[in-house]
Amino acid sequence: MSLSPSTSKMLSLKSSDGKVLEVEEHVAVLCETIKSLVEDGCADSPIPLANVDGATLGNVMEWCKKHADQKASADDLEDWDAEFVERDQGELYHLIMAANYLNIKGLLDLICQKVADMIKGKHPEKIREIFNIENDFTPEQQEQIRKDNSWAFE
Amino acid sequence: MVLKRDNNINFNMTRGKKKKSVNIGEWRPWSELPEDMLNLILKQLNLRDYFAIGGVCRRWSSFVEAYKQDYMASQPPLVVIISTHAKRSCFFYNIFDGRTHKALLPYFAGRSCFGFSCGYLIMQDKNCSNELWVVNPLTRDEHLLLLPTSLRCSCYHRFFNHALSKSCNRGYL
Repeated sequence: MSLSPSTSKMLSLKSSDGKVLEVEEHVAVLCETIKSLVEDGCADSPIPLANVDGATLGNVMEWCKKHADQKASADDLEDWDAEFVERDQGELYHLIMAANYLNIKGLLDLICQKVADMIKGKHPEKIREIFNIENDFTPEQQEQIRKDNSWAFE
Repeated sequence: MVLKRDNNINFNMTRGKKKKSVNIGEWRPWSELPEDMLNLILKQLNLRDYFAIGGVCRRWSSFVEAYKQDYMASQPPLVVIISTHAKRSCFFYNIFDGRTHKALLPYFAGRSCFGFSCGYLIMQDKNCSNELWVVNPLTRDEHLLLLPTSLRCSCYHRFFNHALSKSCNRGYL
């Protein structure tokens, strides 16, 4: 079975909210999860992806399409990736979960790096604000953390 | 309220058959991020940021606590800068990125440091020559070792010098 662009056929992917996306096979197989199905001959259409909603699937396939393009240079991809991850925390969360479920290492690493960059140099309060995380510590735990957190940065 | 991930939530507010009224402000999935992904993110952080993560929420705090040792093992060794009579702090210098981290350690007061091994500083209280403290400045774990009073201080030095020379390559923090 050849997965080269010239002979690539189309695959149908069905998202959790019932949207069907037609994607070239050589693009979709950047997802290891889909690649395994194709190689095992289990990729009859449409492939149900129960953990990925339609909007996120569209974003993921956009990334896969760019990265499957053999003409794209490393510099070009780097710039493109930097723009691709300029999203709000909600979209980044959906992308990180989808990249993990579909087993796309490159995309997973990219989103993790972006999230880490959003955390770097911030105080816990600011991190909560950025990622909309609830402060669920009791006042006693909060006080203990304040005591234990003896780190300063110079 | 923390909402669990729900794939039917129309988060992007695009048109769909199921229109759910979801208040995005109440959608808080990050504290529930699966461990393996949290681990991938935390491995990108430096020491200071790693400890800041522990102050965000309870789940992240317990994760930081549980994987502290793994995280430290994945980091390059730090140079410890400490005076013989440590007062309230010691410094860790990262030779790779040139950054200095400072740890405030109130229980250092009155104790002298004369070595370290496997991540623990070896401290002695000036007033109690038979008491030795081993202190981990990162985890704040400390243990008191009571030694026989018949041993003189110089014996401890000899003992620990020997121990340090034999210590494995984990003799850094």
